[in-house]
Order: sequence, then structure tokens, then C-alpha cells
Amino acid sequence: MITLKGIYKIYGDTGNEVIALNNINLSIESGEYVSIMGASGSGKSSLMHIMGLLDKPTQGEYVLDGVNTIDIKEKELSSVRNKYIGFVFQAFNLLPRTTVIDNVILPLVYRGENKDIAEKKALEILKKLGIDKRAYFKTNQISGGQQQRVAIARALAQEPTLILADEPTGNVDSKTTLEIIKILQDLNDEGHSIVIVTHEDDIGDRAKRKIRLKDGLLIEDKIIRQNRV
Amino acid sequence: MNFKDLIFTSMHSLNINFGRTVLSALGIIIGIASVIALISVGQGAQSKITQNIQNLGSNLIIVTSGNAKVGNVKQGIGTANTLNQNDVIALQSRNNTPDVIAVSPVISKSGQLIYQGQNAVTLIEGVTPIAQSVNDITMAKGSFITEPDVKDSLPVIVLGPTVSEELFPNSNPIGKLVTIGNTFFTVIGVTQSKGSAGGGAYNQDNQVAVPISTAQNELFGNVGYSTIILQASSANVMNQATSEVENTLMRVQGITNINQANFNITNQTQILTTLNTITGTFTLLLGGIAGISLIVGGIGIMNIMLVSVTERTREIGLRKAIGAKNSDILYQFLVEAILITVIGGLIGVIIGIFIDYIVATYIIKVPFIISSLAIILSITVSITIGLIFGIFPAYKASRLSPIEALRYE
Ligand SMILES: Nc1ncnc2c1ncn2[C@@H]1O[C@H](COP(=O)(O)OP(=O)(O)O)[C@@H](O)[C@H]1O
Ligand SMILES: [Mg+2]
Repeated sequence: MITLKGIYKIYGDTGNEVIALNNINLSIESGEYVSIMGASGSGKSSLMHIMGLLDKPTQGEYVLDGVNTIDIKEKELSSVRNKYIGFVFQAFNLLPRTTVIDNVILPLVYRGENKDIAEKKALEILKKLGIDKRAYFKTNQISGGQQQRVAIARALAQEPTLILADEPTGNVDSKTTLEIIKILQDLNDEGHSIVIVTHEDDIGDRAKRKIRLKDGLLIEDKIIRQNRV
Repeated sequence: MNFKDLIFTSMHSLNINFGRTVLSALGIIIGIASVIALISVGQGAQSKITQNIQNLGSNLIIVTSGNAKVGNVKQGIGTANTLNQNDVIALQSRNNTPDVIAVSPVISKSGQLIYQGQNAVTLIEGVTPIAQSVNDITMAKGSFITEPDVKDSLPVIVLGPTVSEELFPNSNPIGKLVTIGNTFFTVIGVTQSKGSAGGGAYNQDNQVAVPISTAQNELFGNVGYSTIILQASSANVMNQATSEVENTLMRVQGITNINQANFNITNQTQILTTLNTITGTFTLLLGGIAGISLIVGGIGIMNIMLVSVTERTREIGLRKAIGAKNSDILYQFLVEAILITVIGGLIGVIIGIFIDYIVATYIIKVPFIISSLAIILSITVSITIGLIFGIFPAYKASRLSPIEALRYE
């Protein structure tokens, strides 16, 4: 489904360059649940941004669903992201003072989908995630755990090829962390492909495959026994 | 994103940042309100002046006496009463001026009327009976100056309604004695109001009339006439009648070149044109000054929008990450700017009309005119300002890179 070949990401000018990703080769198939581990500064977010088409590699090839991403025009990147990638961020990144449902349908609105149909779909997803009762609350009126579930609902509404979660449990307590992990596990059981970035081992172990970065180098890539919730 | 959703999104953003929206609209509200108020009041004043001049009578030609000479230097027009009875007789002859139907000589000067300690400063006009028809005067009470009044230089006076109201607020003025200088005048009539406003020769409500001979003998000394007002037989012959008057006066005074004349001829049409040009220019000037405040308002919007783009960097990054195109962000911010200016413009129009109403009705007392041209113009201008000053912040927002924006704290 996605293939990274000889990916480099180099920040800064010659002289004081930072090699954030150093020759990464990686391929992820549909239905996988992968965790990307590594210390702070090891290059996890850089890799995420490239996989999420938010940034371009300095060198290397990235093929997404059979399309070489180098061929995607700058203007089309937004629609490609909208179609293929669902993001879940550490900081939730919801629109403030806006209702839960309006946040969930946002990617669909940008896609030009009919609002009524989009809302119906969003309500179903919110119900599945157990927060349909908060659908018409403003995002600043609900808890952190609920906010992260809204963010997951927003990603799901896109029906993306891949869900990318960057430290999704970084801003919530341990009880809520477990709930979020359970949701991701359930989604993977249903067939969704998930890549989760984390620096915590016990969260990384919830995945089925574990990848470890160190100073931009891929130092570990193995199938693990999933520690299910 | 379709158009409806775009408008909805922009309205929502403006609504959740209500305070900032109001602040950015303020400049436009003030700018539009002042443009509307100034132009509308200006047009009201213009229509009032037109009305005053039309109230003077119809198809009038006005001969003003010329310049006094001090040494060899000409003074301003009307500084000497150089017109006299010979001029009037010549102008009355049908042979000389076939298109003129009435000749009304006038001596005028401002002066003070006193009645039982009350006083009124007003324009005193020495006239002949024909002034009543020439100046289209109807009487509210009593009668106008008559032939015998003039013949015998009787001390009688006709009051304009404003003067009458000032001196006799609660009583009938007819038969009462008022003094001008040392002379007593008997009030014989009060004219009907013409609804004129302002001061000077064009406000017939704030004037008094006495027999022209009485004015010469008792008030101003035996001087010539300050003005001769002539009435042409119809609007079509105004120009012809005007040149008949000019030729007659030049012949009587024995001059061949109009530049040597010590009188000045004008007619109602010319006065109207001149005054309309002056007030029109003045209105435009005021409107233009107010227009500058609109530009300042636009810059204010740009400032606040730029701050807003910085504040909303994360929001923009998120929108882009989940599928907003550069153009979606550009349009969102542009529509926000235009909505601010359009809504601000509409509020400004309402406030401007309100100010116009207050100023026109209660302060300078001119007709309350809503200038539709000014309204259309200012709405167009506000949309344009929204576009011009919104485009830079909107462009800046649309070019933000999603990762930089998401990283922004
Ligand atoms: N925009 C940038 N400009 C310069 N250096 C960067 C930038 N983004 C990340 N880096 C550097 O690249 C390295 C990897 O960063 P990152 O991918 O954020 O790591 P992680 O998410 O694992 O903490 C770090 O040394 C970081 O300082
Ligand atoms: Mg990171």
C-alpha cells in the first residue's frame, strides 16, 4: 500500500545540515497496525509528515497506492491527503468554539460532499466512538479524551487508506489512553491501516509491527505479538 | 468547498471572533456613515438653495448695480447703487425690451427693526407694488405695498413671516408701529411663508418691504437702486430678454463696451447653475475627505486580518492537512474581509442616513434627502476595499505550509 525507498530528509543549509531521516526503506501493507518508536529527535515526526504528504523527502521515492507521490502536483496534494490520509495529532487540533459535528464533517465539506449526508455519516461514526451525545457541543466544552475521539472520528469520516496518529495519547491521562488504544485496536480489527508514532514502549507494544528509529536511521523493524487491550 | 459552505465557514469565523470583527468593521462603519451623511446633507442643502432661488419668482433677470470707484480702483459688485429711475423707465418701454413683462426696482440694505424692546436684524427692501407679482408673494395677513404708498412715501412696512414671528410672537402685527432708526413704520401686511431657510437675499421669509420712495427718503438717503429685477415673458426667451436688458442699459448709460458697464446682469438659470456647481463641488470635496477615512478603515481591516492570520496559524495548518486547498483558505479569508466591509458598509449606511436625518431636519434645516447614488457608491467602495485590503492577508494565509502551521505554538 505504501512503499518508501531510500528516503532522506535533510534540514538546514550545507555546513549545518541535520539529517533527520537517513536512507529509510519501508513498506506497509493494507490492514497493518504499525508503531514507530524512537527517542525525541530521532525523526519520527519527519517520517510521519512525509507519509502524510505534508512534507517532501529531500531524496528518495514514496509510492502511495501505486502512485509515485513525486508526480502529484502541488495543487492536488490537499485533495490527495483528504482522500488517503486521516490524521490524529497529539494536540487534537480541532476547530475551537465549533461544534463536534462540524469538526467531523470538515474534511467532507472540503471534498464538496453534501452537508446533510456528511452529518448523517458523522453521527454514525460518533455513535460508534461513543460520543454522539456530544455531537452538538462546542469542542471547548468536552474533555481531552472526548476531543481526541472527535479527532479520530474526523479521520474516520474521510474513509482514508491510512490513519496516521502522532503521539495520540500524549495529552491524555492513563485511563483515557487505554480507551484511545482500544478504539485504534478495534478500528484495525475492522481492517483500517494504522500507523502510530509514540515514544512509549507499552503503547508501541499494542501494535502488530514495531519500527524503531535512532538518529534518522531505521534500526529495528519487526512483527510483534500484539498486546491487546 | 462549495460557495454556500464557504460563506457559512467565513460567517462562523467572524461570529466566534465577534469582538475582533466589530473592531475591524469600525473603520468602514465610520467611513461609510460620514460619506453618506456628508453627501446627503450636501444634496439637501443644494436642493434647498435651488428651492430658495425658485421661490424668488419665475423667469427673473437680475440687474445688480455696479462697482463703486475709489480713485481708479473698482470695488466689489453692488458697492454703489448706480442704477436709477432713467434705467427703470428705459427698461419699462416695450420697444426696448419686448420680452420683458415686469420691472421691479429694489433698494436693499440690512437693518434693525424694533418693537417694544424686541428687535430683529433683517434685510430691508425698498420696493414698488410690482415686486409682489415679480417675486411671487402671497399675503398671509393685510396687504402689500401699494401705488399710493410709494407716491406719498408713506411709512408702511410689510413683514416676512420670520420677522413677524420674532417681533410679534403672540399678537397680530397689523397696525402696530415698528421703528427703523428714528422712523416709525405701520405694519400693513405679513407675507406667506415660502419655507425658505438661511439668510441673505435668497430667504424671502426673513425680509421686510417698505415703499421704495420711503426707503430713499427716510432710511438710506436719496441713493440709486441696488437691484432691478425683471421678469421675462417665458422661460424660452430668457437669453433674448437678457440681451435686450443689457443693450437697453448700455444705451441709456452711453457705453459701447460691456466691460465699462457699472452693472451686472444675471438670470435665475445662471444663478442656479453657478450655485449648483459650487455646492456640488463642495459636496464632492466633503465626500472625498470622508472617502479618505474609508481607505484608513480598509488599512485597519488589513491590520486586524494580518493579526488574525497569525493567531489562526494552527487552524489554517489543520484545514490544509485535512484537505483545504490554497484557494479554499484564500477564499475563506477574502470572504471574511468582504463580509466585514459589506456588513460594516450596511451599518454605516444606516448610521449615515440617521445622521443625515438629524443634521438636515434639526440642525441646518434643509430637506432630508437620501442620496441613492452615495449609497450604491459606498457599498461598491466597501466591497472593493474588502477585496483590496483582504487579499494580502488572505494570500499570506493561503501560502502557509501545513507542517509549519501545525508546529506553530
Ligand atoms: N523544520 C526543521 N528545521 C530544522 N530541523 C528540524 C526541523 N524539523 C525537525 N528538525 C530536526 O530533525 C530532527 C528530527 O526531528 P523530528 O522528526 O521532529 O523528531 P521526533 O518527532 O522523533 O522528535 C531533530 O534533530 C529536529 O531538531
Ligand atoms: Mg515528534
